[in-house]
Amino acid sequence: MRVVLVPISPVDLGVGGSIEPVPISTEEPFGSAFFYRVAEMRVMKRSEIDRIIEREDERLAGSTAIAVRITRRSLLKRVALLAAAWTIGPWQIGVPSALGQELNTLDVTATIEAFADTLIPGQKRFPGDRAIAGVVSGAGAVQAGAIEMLNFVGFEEVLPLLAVGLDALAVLYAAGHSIALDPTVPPFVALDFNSRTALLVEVLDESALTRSTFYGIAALCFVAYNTAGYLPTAVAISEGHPGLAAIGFPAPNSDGIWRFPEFSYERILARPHPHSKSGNPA
Amino acid sequence: MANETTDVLIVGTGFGGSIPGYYLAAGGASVIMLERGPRFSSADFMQSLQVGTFSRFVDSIAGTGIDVTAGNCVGGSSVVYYAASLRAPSFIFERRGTLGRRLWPASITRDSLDKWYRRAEEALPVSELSWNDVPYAGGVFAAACTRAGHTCQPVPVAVDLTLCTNCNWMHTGCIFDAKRSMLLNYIPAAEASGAQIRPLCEVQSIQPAQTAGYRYAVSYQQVDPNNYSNYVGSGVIEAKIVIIAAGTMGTPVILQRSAQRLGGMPSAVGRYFSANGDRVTVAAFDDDKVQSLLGLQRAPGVGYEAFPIGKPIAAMTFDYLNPSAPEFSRFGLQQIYFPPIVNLIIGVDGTPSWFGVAKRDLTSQWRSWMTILAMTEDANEGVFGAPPEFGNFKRIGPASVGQLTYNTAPETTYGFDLSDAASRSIMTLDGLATLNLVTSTNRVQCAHPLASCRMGDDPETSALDDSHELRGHPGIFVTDGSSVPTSLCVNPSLTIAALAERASSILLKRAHEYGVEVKEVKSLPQS
Repeated sequence: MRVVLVPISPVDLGVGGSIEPVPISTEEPFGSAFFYRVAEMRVMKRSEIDRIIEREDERLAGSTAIAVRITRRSLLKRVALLAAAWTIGPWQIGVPSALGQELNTLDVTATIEAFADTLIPGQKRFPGDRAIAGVVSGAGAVQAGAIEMLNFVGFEEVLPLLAVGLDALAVLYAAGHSIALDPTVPPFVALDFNSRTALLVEVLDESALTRSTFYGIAALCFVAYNTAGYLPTAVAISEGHPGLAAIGFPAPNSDGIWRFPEFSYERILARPHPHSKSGNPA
Repeated sequence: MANETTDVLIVGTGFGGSIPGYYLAAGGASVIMLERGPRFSSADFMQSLQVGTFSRFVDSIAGTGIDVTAGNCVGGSSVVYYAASLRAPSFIFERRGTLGRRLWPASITRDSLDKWYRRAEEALPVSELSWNDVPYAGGVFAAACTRAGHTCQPVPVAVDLTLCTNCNWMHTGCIFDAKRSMLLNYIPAAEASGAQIRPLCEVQSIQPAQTAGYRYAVSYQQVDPNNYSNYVGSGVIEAKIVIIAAGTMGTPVILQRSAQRLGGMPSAVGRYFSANGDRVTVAAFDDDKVQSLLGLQRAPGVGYEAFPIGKPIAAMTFDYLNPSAPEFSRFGLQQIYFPPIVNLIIGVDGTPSWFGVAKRDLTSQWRSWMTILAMTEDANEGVFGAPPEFGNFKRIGPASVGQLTYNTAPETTYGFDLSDAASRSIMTLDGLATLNLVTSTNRVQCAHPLASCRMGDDPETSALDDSHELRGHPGIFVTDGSSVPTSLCVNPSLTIAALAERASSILLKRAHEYGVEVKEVKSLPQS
């Protein structure tokens, strides 16, 4: 697989805009972000990435700074590394060491939890819980084990990459909407629920470049909530899994096996098609 | 070292492989059946949605514009199917599709296939359901149809009703041996007649044999049972007759990969794929309305709230199967159960359309849901790209990516729209339910892949003649879902079984042409 890092404008991110490379020298209010195409990719050498970043720094020198936790340089580097690493195959790579050193586990977890909570919201776990927006009462994807699910399928190694990507997108979103981000939490966490939602609508749109990266993670959040997919189902129910409880998944018999002796209204509820025979169409 | 040899080599052990496997072995041929998946029995199956359990024997294959679910084990998709066993309506066999001429071979009509349907029904066997056997979900579907002025009937199922516990775990393999998969009839009968079944052997390609008296050499890789992407060995078996029944997602890939060594392949191999026109929607019922409008109560104060209870398919209306209606406007409409692993894809009104607070609210009513499957007439628009180096598709961690592209044709979209409207008119009448479409993805969700190596009379648009023989390659037969020319407007398993019964009869008559002497076999497998 080859990697091409395609510089595109922020407005193109996730909204299905052009994926044609935009010349680095174009005058944009915030600068170019590096993104990628999963197909026809060419891995850029680190030196190439650094050279482009330097040019960006020069071009943007003196422009109005936006209150973000990470610098433009850092942002560009992170997205570039994410793109390069992701395209190798998220299940086959570790986190590039340079990137891993920049992140701490807490930031990664909070960002991924905020992502999961945007998909299936829950209530805050404790006062001051920032990852969970707390827009509903009851459990959401986080309480249902979204992180456990992602780890269960071996994603723990790529969660930092995903968090970096989400945070980079959050920074771009904030810039595009004149939102000042709280620098004490990761950028995606710093967005309020409505902004998180609006961003993920773009990120997960079927035509978005970001779709292929984040849809699988979204699916696993749903698997965590709706099926407790990291546990045997009977065990999950016996442990009171909040997602299965919320959807009303029935409990098995005492031996852990499902059987439903009562299952039918036992009434004739329709007339058959006049031309049907033995239950078959004519 | 000389290659291993056999009279008949069968690729795949689902309906299409097991049925000829039984007849040819019972007729006296030496038969080897290669299956890429593992071998499990009811003792191995688990009622569990834990990732990594059911995925040992079911593949979800992402193509372009389509997601396909297919079995991957001894018994094939019969192990994970929902056992709905319906004969296709007569008009199906007269379909002309977008080509403007009959797509099925002239020799196959509903009338001519009925005797083979009967045999398959008897062998599986298939049970007719009484209304007492229809679970709550089917009952609500039927009552809603009645109230909307429609007919509806119980669906025949390949289930031993005396063993069935209505647990609704058919998709993970039946632990009670109530569901009648190939593991309980044709496969044991084939083995009793001497057929060898070899699991975890993934056939890659076919080439001319080197040994005198044998026509083809089949190459396979042995699959690591703990990682299906790893190969731990390989082999070659030479045969006088080769039957490809690797499934609609596998058969064309093997044949495409073999094209060069076999000196070409009919152009219809890997083309004309049909998703059986599968179209999924979800009705979410207002339980008060179930009680007041439909007059149903399953417990005091509870009308329905029983989505996870019962057999997964039990009721269906044939009202949209009017033979005189235009092609692409007809469909079967069926009540079905989807486990909550697919809750992801179901949509809500507004933005976001498949996640967020409104979706969470909809999911909280999950017990009041009912999945509805429309099986429409699609336009056979699926096309397979170039095969991967090994296997039927590329496994990437927990995902599988195939070469199939399905760009939904206008004719297919038309059928989807009509079936959505029909479901809406029945289910939302007087506020009985809301109807929710799949919105998380535009991709077609297909559990019934067909027609990727289809039969027909026209060599340009069919890969097989009406005896299932691959054009230009005498002695290679294709007997699985890929041979079915069109979507069926019903669940395909019984039609695949009936066609395999018919093909087996042909094979027994013609085996001597390929140097295999067999006797006539009239008896069904005893189970």
